[in-house]
Amino acid sequence: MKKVFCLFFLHWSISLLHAQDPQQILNTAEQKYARVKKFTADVNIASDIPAMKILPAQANISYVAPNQLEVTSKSIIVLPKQGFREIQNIISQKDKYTAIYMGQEKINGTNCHLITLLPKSDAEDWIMAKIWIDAKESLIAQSQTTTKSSGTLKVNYQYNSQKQWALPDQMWIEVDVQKFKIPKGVATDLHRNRETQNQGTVGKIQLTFTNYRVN
Amino acid sequence: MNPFKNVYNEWVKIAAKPRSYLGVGAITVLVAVIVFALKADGMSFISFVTASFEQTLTFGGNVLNGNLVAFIVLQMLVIHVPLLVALITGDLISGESAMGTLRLLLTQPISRHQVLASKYMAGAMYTAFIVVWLGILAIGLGRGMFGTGDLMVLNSDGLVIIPESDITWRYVGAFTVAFLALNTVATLSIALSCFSDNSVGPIVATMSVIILFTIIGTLDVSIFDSIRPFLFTTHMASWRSFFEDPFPINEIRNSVWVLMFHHVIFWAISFFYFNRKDITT
Repeated sequence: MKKVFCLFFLHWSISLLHAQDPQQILNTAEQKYARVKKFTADVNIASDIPAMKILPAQANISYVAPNQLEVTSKSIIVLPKQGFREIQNIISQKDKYTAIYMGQEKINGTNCHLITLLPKSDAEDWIMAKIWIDAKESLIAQSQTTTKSSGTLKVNYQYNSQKQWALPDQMWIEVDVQKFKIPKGVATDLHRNRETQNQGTVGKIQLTFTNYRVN
Repeated sequence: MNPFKNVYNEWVKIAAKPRSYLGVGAITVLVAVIVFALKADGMSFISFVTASFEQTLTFGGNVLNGNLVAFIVLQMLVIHVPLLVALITGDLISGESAMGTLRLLLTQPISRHQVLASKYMAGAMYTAFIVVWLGILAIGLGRGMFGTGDLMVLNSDGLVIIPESDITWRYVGAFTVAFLALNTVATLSIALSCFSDNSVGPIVATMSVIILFTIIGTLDVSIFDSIRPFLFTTHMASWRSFFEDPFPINEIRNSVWVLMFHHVIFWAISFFYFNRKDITT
């Protein structure tokens, strides 16, 4: 009886592992947003960057598949250097990474599959990517990309009106920021003895998308 | 005698001197050179300022716009404009003394106070003209060639990005304080001009005072900490405070008071001495 139970448990475990094929999960998520050939949207960009004072600005975003993304604005805007569809680009290059299933985690109360991607080549700029995919909706709920050149970029997604296209209504981006240094030889203000505010090293950018026009 | 007539006469004297146009010409050429250089390679200048952020962030929108160009022009030129002002105002009394016309002027039915006051007024008008010309060129040429947009300013706390709708009043305030600072230089040079009988002395003396005070102001030595806030050169850059966030109203008010105090001191010295100046020898 004991042997039968062990065999049953082993079979169940293997079948479970098979069900949690990370590439399968990534493919399902990709299928959702791969249907988007192009879109435009209005976006409100609210930035909270250490050593930078900037008011929220309105911009227009236009995307053409596979990775042509343009953000235009009359105001000055700040965006992560990696862009905010970097993780989708990484996922689409299936032959360039190894996907590892890491289990399940809750993101904002939602059960998500956690998948880690590791590049096969050292030539890639990204070192590691973690993706949390909504287990029920197959949407990217959170991603974290670590790169050689730009540090770590963490993105949280919230979907609502454009869920069917896997286009988020809001994104919260966290990006590593270097400690601010005044360039040598640049004259600044005369109040140089004023106490400098304690600067953090994580910049936060909130994107709120409206007026989506898809395909 | 109509005091405005005296001021007008002094203004005509300034306008008649070829060197008065030297400042206007120099500003015009310098602004044109700066604007041309920014048009050719302005983005590398911006990268130099935003270097601390550019490893992880990118800036979008019209960063290199007329408002930023005007700010850069102001920052580069306000340091040099005092020389152009002193070149004219340092000569207002000593020049007449050297030519012998001061004696003639003071024999007219007009008090010495009125003569000096009219020279101060004319000097202030010339300074205002230089500041307005600088403003018209910097903002007009900048906006004409680069368009408008938000203003990105670097200060010791980091980058401040001021929305386009919030810029014009800041420029008006900045130019007003810049005028006050430059007029302090004009007042100093006129005061020094009372003590001299040749043109070059007061101009060189004014520039020497500015250089000395600037060095004292920039040296990070604790012995100067107590006097630094009272030097007018420390407050000559206070026009920049108009582009800070939060708006440092108390610091600007303090700078205005210090500059006004210097005006009063220089006026008092010059009026005291000029009234007793020996013009017979």
